[in-house]
Amino acid sequence: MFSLCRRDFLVGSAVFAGSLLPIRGRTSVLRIVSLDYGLAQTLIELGVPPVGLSDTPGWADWTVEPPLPQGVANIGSSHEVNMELLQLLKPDLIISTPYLEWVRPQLEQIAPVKSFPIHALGTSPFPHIVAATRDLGRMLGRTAEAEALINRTEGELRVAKAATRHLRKLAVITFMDARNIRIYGPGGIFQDVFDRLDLQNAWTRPTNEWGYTDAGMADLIDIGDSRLFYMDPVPPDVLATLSGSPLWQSMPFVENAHVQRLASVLMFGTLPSASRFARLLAEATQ
Amino acid sequence: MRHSPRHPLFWFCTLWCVALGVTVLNLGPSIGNIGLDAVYSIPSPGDVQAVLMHYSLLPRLAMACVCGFALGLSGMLFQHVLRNPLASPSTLGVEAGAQLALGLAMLWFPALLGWSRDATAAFGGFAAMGIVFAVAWRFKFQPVVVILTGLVMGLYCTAIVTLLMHVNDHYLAGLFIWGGGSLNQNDWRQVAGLFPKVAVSSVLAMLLVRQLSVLTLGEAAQSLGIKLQFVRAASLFVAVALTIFTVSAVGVIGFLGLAAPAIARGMGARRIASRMIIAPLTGAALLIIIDQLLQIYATNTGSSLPTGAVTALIGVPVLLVLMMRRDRTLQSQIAAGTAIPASKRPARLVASIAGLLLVIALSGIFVGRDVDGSWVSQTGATLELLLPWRLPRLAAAISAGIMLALAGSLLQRLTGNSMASPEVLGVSAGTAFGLLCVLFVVAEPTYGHRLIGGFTGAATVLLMLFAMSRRAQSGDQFLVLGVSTGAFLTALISVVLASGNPRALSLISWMAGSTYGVGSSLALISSGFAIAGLTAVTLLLRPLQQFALGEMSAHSHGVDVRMFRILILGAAAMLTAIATLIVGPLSFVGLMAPHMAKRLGLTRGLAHLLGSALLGALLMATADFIGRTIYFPWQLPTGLVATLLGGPVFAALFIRRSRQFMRH
Repeated sequence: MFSLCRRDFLVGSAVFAGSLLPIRGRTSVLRIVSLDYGLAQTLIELGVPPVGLSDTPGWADWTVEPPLPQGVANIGSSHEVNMELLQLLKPDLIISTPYLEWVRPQLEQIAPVKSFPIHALGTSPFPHIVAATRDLGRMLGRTAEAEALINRTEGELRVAKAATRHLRKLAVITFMDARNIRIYGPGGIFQDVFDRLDLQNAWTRPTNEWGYTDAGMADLIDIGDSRLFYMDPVPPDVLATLSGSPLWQSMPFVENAHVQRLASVLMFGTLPSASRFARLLAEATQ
Repeated sequence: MRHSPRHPLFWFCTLWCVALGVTVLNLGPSIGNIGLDAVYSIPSPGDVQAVLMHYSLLPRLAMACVCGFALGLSGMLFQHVLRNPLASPSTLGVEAGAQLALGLAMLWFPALLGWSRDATAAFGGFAAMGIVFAVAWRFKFQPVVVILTGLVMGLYCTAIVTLLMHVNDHYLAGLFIWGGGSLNQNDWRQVAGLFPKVAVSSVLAMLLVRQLSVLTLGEAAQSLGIKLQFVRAASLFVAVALTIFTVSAVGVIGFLGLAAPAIARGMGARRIASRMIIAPLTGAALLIIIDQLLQIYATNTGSSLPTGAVTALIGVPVLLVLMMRRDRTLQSQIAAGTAIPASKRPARLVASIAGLLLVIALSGIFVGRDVDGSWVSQTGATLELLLPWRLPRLAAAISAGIMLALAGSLLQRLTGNSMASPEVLGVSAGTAFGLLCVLFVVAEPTYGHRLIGGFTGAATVLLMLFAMSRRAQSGDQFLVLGVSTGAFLTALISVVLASGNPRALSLISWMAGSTYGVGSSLALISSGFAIAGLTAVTLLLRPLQQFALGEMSAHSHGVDVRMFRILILGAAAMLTAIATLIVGPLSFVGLMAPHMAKRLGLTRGLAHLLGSALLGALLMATADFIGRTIYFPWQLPTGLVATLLGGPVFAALFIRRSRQFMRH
């Protein structure tokens, strides 16, 4: 537990530094670098957009919401942050996930590091996302904004719940290719949204700790006549191949036209992703 | 069979009985429900179980049968024509080439995939094989050159695929599954498309049987000259076609093409005519067994594993057992490489390589990119700020290059085999395996954990090599076993990667040879080991020279052969483990650097060792600089960039020298 205390101390000092900054004027907002899309979403919503983020060009494809503000520096791959660039950006705080724990010693040479465990903890991620949002709010002196974000999300989930009440069972998948799919279930934020909208996941087989499992197309026969949503991006040849497949055509949900495309939602996202997912589901069922 | 008096047909029938049994076990209950008639007739759309049987399970069974047949035949042709039990679609780079083409198309030409996924993959496979053929042609299809070029080609394509995944990991998830070889089917179209192609190729192969049996006469048939080469090339072409059709339909089912013919031979099928039939049918039976078992596993656990990767997991141990039992027949006939004229001024050559290394290292220290992406030469305070990031990775990269090159040249001398290297002998793969275990056992692995894991993995492979050094008499056997071990571990890693666990993604970055995690302490440790290694090898030069002349010569000069062998193996494994932890298992600098030194004319003694080490360092230093700056702010992994840099240089040297040699 010693390391944890030390970590808290480091973060604490960053918070201390941060709480002094607003006095000096609006220009010197805490310079934060996020190594994770999901945490960056929360930062933007809290009004403290990161100065640097990994793989900024991919944001528009995978995260979409909230829009990434201008001038966020691209610090390279999320697995491999450009340390030189990070050094030149002179951040006050680096926020990250436990998967980058192994480079923590290097990162700490540049700035204090705060890591937020959210996924693969053996429980549903939603409570951890809420906790991380509150933590971030406290650290950045934005508790009011954090609570507002949580309330806003709950409100949007309530609206979506009303809109999706006719939706019985549903399944959400991503196409890997025309024969292999990734299907979502307990352990991921999509299931968390299902639970909060009182929707039933048609996929009942176990999923991995990240909340999904890889399956063959034929396995979808198990979901019967449930609604099926397939998420962007869809590989180029998939839809054409499927339209000619007797197996696909004879799936109950295809015969009854219960298949719909859904825009991309970040699977490992935070509250903005949950709202977005709920809203897209609601729009799709209109 | 030497150890068993049974007829080959006995084993063959046993295999097919198992295949049939497993199939009944998997499909039986479902067929029982819908009735046997429903299997043949086209089901009504409402009958879910019948639809599933007719459009998914049966085509998958047929696909396994056709693919297994094609790969078995393909591997048989490769091995027979090249007279090398190591030859297979995987060891010749065909599969990796196809995979690369698919990855490139997925990223930049998605329309190609929409047009024809098969043709795209086929293009890559034929291109890779074409390059291997082009080199092989110059060397009159010498087995050792073909395999060497094929391996390099395969590693090269795999390196680019890994690099693509590294910078675009979200997009290429499909490639993981494809790379793992998924036999899932949605209808009969793919089987219907693949079957005629495989049938035509098989007929062509049968027509070549007579010519092939002439080839078995070996050197006696050399007088046939052009015709001999033509028949060889034609057979290889058919073998490539068979692989490509399979690979473009279902993905890489790698080890099957290597294992099926070997098992057929192990069953006692000696004559070419009988092998032509037994090897493909063995392949078909094997793939059916594995695929049906995986379906049963998926039904019970809910997790589906890629068939192709599991095939390798099961195929390799079978091969190892067979080889241990029948070592004499499987002793490969890899010949020594062509003689290369030695440089007249080795000292000057070594000095100029060292000078080049210095220039590259200095630019690696001073030149970089600014926040806005412009090229700058940093000095003063900024440089001071950046040095803690630049120096360790440069030092670690150079040390890794030295260590891998030394390990490679040690192993090449020890085994007397020009293809031996840490990468080929599976020592690097062992390190990778150890690290993989750590990533899954320890929740938040520290650098110490990773280090221990990697060392343990490398040591395990080392122990295996020790155990073999008692049994195996020839260096070639080291190679066969090493390649198999490497393939096994690589397959295991790809099963884990294909399971889509995001935790495994961090392994990709290390596999790719990123020096991202290197700190100053690690840089110091690796530099220390590199210098120690260099010193030790220099001191051991004399006995090494004796060893290179052959074990008998070494023995007569008073070298304790067994102790020396163990000592060198230990040193090589040690150097490899430390270097691999820094630059990943894919760099294959250990294979390239000693060869490059030799091709440049540094053929003997100290000049060769120093030349290899310096070339390894040069490759790595250049790779580090390019990887850090060229695609800023993304950093390309040093190990992979070294592979990409070294590949063409390697090939160019190979071809240029052979031309000169042939003119003499």
